Amino acid sequence: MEILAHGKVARGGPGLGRARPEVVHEAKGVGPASNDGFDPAALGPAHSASGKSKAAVVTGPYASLAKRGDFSGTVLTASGEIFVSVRVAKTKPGTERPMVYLAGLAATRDRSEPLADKLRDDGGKTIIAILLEGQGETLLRDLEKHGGQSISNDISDTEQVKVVLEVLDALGVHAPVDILGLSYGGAIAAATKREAPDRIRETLLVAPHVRSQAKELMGVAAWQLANSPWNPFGHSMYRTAAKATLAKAFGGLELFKDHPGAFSEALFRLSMGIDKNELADVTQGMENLHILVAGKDRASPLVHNQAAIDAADGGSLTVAPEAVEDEHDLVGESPELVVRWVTERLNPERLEKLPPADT
Amino acid sequence: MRTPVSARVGIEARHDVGPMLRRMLEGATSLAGSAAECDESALAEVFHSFAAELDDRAALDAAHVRESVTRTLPKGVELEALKRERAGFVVTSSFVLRLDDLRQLPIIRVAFEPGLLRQAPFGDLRIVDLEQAILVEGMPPPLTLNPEVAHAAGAAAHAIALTLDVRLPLLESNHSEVVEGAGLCWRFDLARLAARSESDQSWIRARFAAPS
Repeated sequence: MEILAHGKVARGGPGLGRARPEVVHEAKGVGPASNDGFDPAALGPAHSASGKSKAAVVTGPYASLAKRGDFSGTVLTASGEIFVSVRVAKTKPGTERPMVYLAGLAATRDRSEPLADKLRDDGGKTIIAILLEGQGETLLRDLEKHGGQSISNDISDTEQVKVVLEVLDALGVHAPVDILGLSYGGAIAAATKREAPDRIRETLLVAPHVRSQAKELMGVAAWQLANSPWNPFGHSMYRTAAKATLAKAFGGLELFKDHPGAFSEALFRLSMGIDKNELADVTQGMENLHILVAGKDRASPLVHNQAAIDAADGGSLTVAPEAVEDEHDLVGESPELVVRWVTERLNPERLEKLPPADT
Repeated sequence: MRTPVSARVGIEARHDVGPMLRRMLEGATSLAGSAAECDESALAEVFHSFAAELDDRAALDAAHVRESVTRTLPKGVELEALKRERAGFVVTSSFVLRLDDLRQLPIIRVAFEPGLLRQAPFGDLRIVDLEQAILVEGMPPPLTLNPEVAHAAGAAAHAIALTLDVRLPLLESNHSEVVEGAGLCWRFDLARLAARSESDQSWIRARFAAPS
């Protein structure tokens, strides 16, 4: 990988500031699957708890989370039931700063857990993979219980940030975490850092959403249509076009076979919720920001990622190898590459233990 | 001249959504990381879905826009007509405002969508109130069509066209001024005016004399 540019000197950058008071967090009865009878096992088997036998001796700021061990299930929050996959580091789980992972627009458990597993197994990280409102099993639960209330309106980034913070609270994680986001998840990760800088240490974005798809990707014609001051119906025409094209491009998901139309409605609501966002605005003055992007990614152009780094107060922009230069979903295409990049940014001392990336 | 000059201002925007849908589909496909082809069949499917929903939502969208516009118009200006029509890929949207006095024209700002900043559909216009005439001068709304889109489309049918009509009932015969650019068409129907275009083809000056 080529590190294209470093931002201004990061304060508390990768590898720094890990010394923390050793405190023991006891579970207070708030936690995963604290719900109204919904059985997370119905969604599939959770991974085995790595720290169970050591629970009694786990200490550190993240001991509360570490003691629970690995699990996949819903977490009850004020925003609703949110599907979470936790993978606990096998070494020093109580002190290893967890990383929240937010996947792309069409995230599901099947798509987000493989990276979580890899980041735990190869990267030595504790991962909290969250399926946000409108995504995957979180949406499925909402459809089953509330008829899809979460997708009755556009879902803004601030609503999603609230979900992230509520999940951390529910898991008893109050010390700072790192956050990693892919594409749509990248926009939410950056927004989380902006909204709650004290809760987030390092922000890592992979091919993040950088600006309106109408403005950047879908052509100036679409942007003009959406914002034309002479067309009273421009905005509704643009939204209708966005819904139709997203539905066609993403197709359907087996997960939602009993809820026709729900998946495309969710894609639409998620996209429109951040359609007016500009990443460079969000990252203004942000510390410890790192971005990984493919050089020819049309959905996350390099130039706008550079602008986001320039706006930040410290960080780095890394361009993925040529072998994946056209790819947007770098996580799906080369999870090894992403694990290596995360390790380079956060735990360079662990690099030599990593298996080589294919790319 | 202090006598109010009632006026009716209409704007019609005609969009061929074909090129836009194609580009949006390409963009969404790229976002999805999908290997799906953006061929004619895929585009036809998207268009079918787009058209069906747009037609279904026509009344709802009109009510939504009417509410937003009405809320933002100043006193003395009313929304007289609002329409959206679709013929295949071509969607034509229009609205007509009735002004108690032409002098309100430069200050009108219309918001079609709640919560958005008010927009300026009539461009940067200035009205000079002379003793026997009103002079309207300034720039119509700037609309620059992406040359890449226009070129790729390769035909005028794929360009965005916009028409601006201004009618002044107090005055006499109509005059048409048509200014055409790449994929952009302006038509000014102004009554008894002295209209002229200058170098950039978008500057207008209209002189409205008091009726004799």
